[in-house]
Amino acid sequence: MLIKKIPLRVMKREFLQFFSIIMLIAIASMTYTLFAVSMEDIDVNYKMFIKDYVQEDGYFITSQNIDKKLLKEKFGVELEERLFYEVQENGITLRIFSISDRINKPYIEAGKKPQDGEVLLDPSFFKAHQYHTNDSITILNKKFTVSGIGYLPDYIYIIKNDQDILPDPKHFGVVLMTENDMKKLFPVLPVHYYSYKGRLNNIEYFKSFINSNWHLLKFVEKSENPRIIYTEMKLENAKRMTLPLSLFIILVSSFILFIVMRRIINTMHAEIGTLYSMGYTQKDVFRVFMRFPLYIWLTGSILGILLGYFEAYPLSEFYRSYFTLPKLKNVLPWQHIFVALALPAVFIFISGYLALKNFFKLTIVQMLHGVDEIKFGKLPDIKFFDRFEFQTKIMLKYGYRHFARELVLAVGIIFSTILMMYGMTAKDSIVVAIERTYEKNFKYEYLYLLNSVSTHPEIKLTNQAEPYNVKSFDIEGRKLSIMIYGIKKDSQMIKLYDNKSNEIPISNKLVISRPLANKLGLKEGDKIHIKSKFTDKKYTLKVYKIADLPVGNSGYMDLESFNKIFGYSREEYIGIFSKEKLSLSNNLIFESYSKSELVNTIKASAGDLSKTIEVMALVAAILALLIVYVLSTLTVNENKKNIGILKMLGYREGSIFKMMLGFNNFSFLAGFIIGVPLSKITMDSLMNAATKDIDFAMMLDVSTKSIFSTFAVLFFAFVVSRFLVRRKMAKVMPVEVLREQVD
Amino acid sequence: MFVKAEKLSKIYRIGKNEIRALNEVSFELERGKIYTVIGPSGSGKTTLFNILGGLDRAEEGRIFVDGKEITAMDQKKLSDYRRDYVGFVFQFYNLINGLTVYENVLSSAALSKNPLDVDMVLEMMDVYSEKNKFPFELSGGQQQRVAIARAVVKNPAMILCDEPTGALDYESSKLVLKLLEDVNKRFGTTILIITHNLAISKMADATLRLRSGRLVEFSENPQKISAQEVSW
Repeated sequence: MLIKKIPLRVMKREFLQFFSIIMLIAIASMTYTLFAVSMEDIDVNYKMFIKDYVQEDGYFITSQNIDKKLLKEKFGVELEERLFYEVQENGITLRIFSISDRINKPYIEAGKKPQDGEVLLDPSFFKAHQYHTNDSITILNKKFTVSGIGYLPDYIYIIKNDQDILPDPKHFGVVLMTENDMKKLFPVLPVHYYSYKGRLNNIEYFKSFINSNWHLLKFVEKSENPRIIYTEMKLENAKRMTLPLSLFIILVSSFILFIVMRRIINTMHAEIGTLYSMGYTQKDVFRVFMRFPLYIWLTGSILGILLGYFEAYPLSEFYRSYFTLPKLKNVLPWQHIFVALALPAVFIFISGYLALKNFFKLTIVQMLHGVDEIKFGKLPDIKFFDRFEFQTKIMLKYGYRHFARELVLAVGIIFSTILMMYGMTAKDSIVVAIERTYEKNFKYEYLYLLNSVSTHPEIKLTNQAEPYNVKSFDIEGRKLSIMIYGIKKDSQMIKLYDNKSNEIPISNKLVISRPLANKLGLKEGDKIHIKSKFTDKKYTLKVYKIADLPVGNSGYMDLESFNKIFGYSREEYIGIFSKEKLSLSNNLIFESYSKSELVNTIKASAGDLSKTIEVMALVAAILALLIVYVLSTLTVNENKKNIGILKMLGYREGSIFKMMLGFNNFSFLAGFIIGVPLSKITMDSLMNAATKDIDFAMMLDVSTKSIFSTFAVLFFAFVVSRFLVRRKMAKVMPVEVLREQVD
Repeated sequence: MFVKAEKLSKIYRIGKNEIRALNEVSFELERGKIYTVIGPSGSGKTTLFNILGGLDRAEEGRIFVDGKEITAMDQKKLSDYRRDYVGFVFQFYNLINGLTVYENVLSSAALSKNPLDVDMVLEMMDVYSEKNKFPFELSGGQQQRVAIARAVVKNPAMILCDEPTGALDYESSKLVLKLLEDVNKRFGTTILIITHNLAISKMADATLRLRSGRLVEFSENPQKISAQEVSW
């Protein structure tokens, strides 16, 4: 059928308009493909890795050697000891493990399993320090050969401390060496580290049994291990974002396509009527016009899938290195490619069909006569507008007449605002977390966690150091835990403030962090029911105050009261906050870190987020530009005749632009103003959903700077699109309009 | 008789008001002749054009074309009727902007069981040299000639023209009328021209005069002149 050529020709003639819609569809398909394909790749490889290389179900640390056989018989779990030691040299911390055989087996990507005198390095550390296989590395003055890269199933998200937010491979790495070398290098190991695999029916009894026999120092279930759950949380988060993000873009594009289709049909009304009068049937005409959505869908989604698929590879690699996951298998998820292809089709064809269906309700005579006149009768005649001067009145009437279009524009801006604010806030929040937590609240420079709770008569504390005690509890009814600290009453190391920046005195009453209070829905005066992680003992404490700490599930009270409530003697403690570096024996220390090191780590890692933010800003700006451009161009195309006549009457271009498209300014502003608080709500709910059952909490703060930056980027996109539309308007010549009407 | 209309009526309802666009109009047309329909605005000319062309339906009355009752046809049959019997020429040409001149004519020929040669028709209409151009690249006169070519190429029994010279200058109008006359002579096509221009009725075999929806006069024209001689 010859008339099937019409759609392509029209699309060629109105190239920019259709190209913009195609790009919107391509972005939607690309977003879906990009995330879905890379997520599937990571997911499949992650599951394979933790299964084949036997990820632990938990680990614990004791101060004495346990009886593995007894525990296996009594609790039916597989246990494996890993020798473990931490070395700090030249600002770099190396966590050294012996190589396991049964649980947390390393996957060796390049090189080979180390023999004596050889080590495996974690991939991020290996890359960050530009090591090569067979290079040498010096640990405690002994040279080792790097035999390759090793991935550990329990160190997927390689952070040094449980409370760290981002990995820092420049200053922290995991090293694997033979048991033999471990024993030679560290003749005295202060603690015993065990991984376990197997389902424990009564985990509380298991913990208390270990504690009573071998003195349990730390017990971490897989579900509480940030090095494991952060990966799952972030993957889940990315997955959760994928579909709504793509769906939204598809919906906006489909709606725009609906408007464009209606306009095309309106301008071609007489041609369609003529096709009927020539003897073409409704089916023939329908088939021809459904080619518009068909071409848009095919071009947009195939382009999007290709872009997304090729971009998915680097994204997978980025995730792989971010989470330090090995690639065990190549994954090609056809089902997601099918979805990326089919999803836009559903919406695009529906919108195309609806646009046509309404038109086909008209009689042939109405088609030939044109529907403009029919619609004209329905133009709003609102007396309210008459109080304004002519140009403003016309602008308001145009806005009112094209209300749905203005709404789409505003929704597009809301979406772009949310997208960009999300990136900006992620960075801001981390910066705020550092500044507030580590600079305002935590005044110490060094933190030491010792091997045991005792009065430690061997340690002489100066006035530059303060003892503290800490205990981890499960929160009853929730899969959450809280770390409660006992600190000095007049502590100079920890300062807590309420939301009005008033200092909260440390007393015998419990003060909890705001993220935890938000997560549990607790207010001051509420009660919190907790249970010791190591024993079955339960406690109910009243929340006295909520401290404005941006990160962490933590609580604070004075040391004396802490010891009294939790059954320690008055002077006992497990850790030290200090303003200066302490020279403590290695045998005493379980963990230590310096605040400046931690702050620098986070700040450096937050800097890496800039790239993500740049991409998000670019996508947000392109989306805003495309949406504003397509909708404004539509108005210009529809009103060519009016523009020509107004020009003929002597109106300046600026005035005509204001009358036809001035309302867009309000829609843009409304979109942005609604978008800012909405982005905060969206991010909070996203963060809550992602961290619902895990021990991580963080306040997301929207800063004035990020609001201004978002506005600047989106406004720039808005101005560019308006400039392009104005150029189009300038090309409308009155004489052509007249020529079109009568020869 | 090629066309026979019996008591055709068409009523438009706008709100509570009824407008009788055609009121019991009856007439007969012979095959191979030229007819004009004249009358003031609102007299029912275009309504008659639409009903005769199978674009609209009459409320009452019947029309027979070549012995078939088109008023009793369903949409599909009406479609076939338009395809096989009628060619249309509109005041504002209604060419398909997305198709070239050649394709516009071919799109019509493709529907016909017995089409004429497209090139021959384009030559006849003197637009062959423009065959690869798009409608918006042509003058109004050229566009109308393409529109006539599109109507003619199907080799229909009847061509209905709604104000075919309404948007054209004098010279172009005369050329269009000449071409319609040529088509009538060469292919024996019945031609019905709706017009405001009384001068055009001088080239017709008969004229139907409508007023307020009624056929007030059906006058044969024994002193018919050629299209060349028509002037106003």
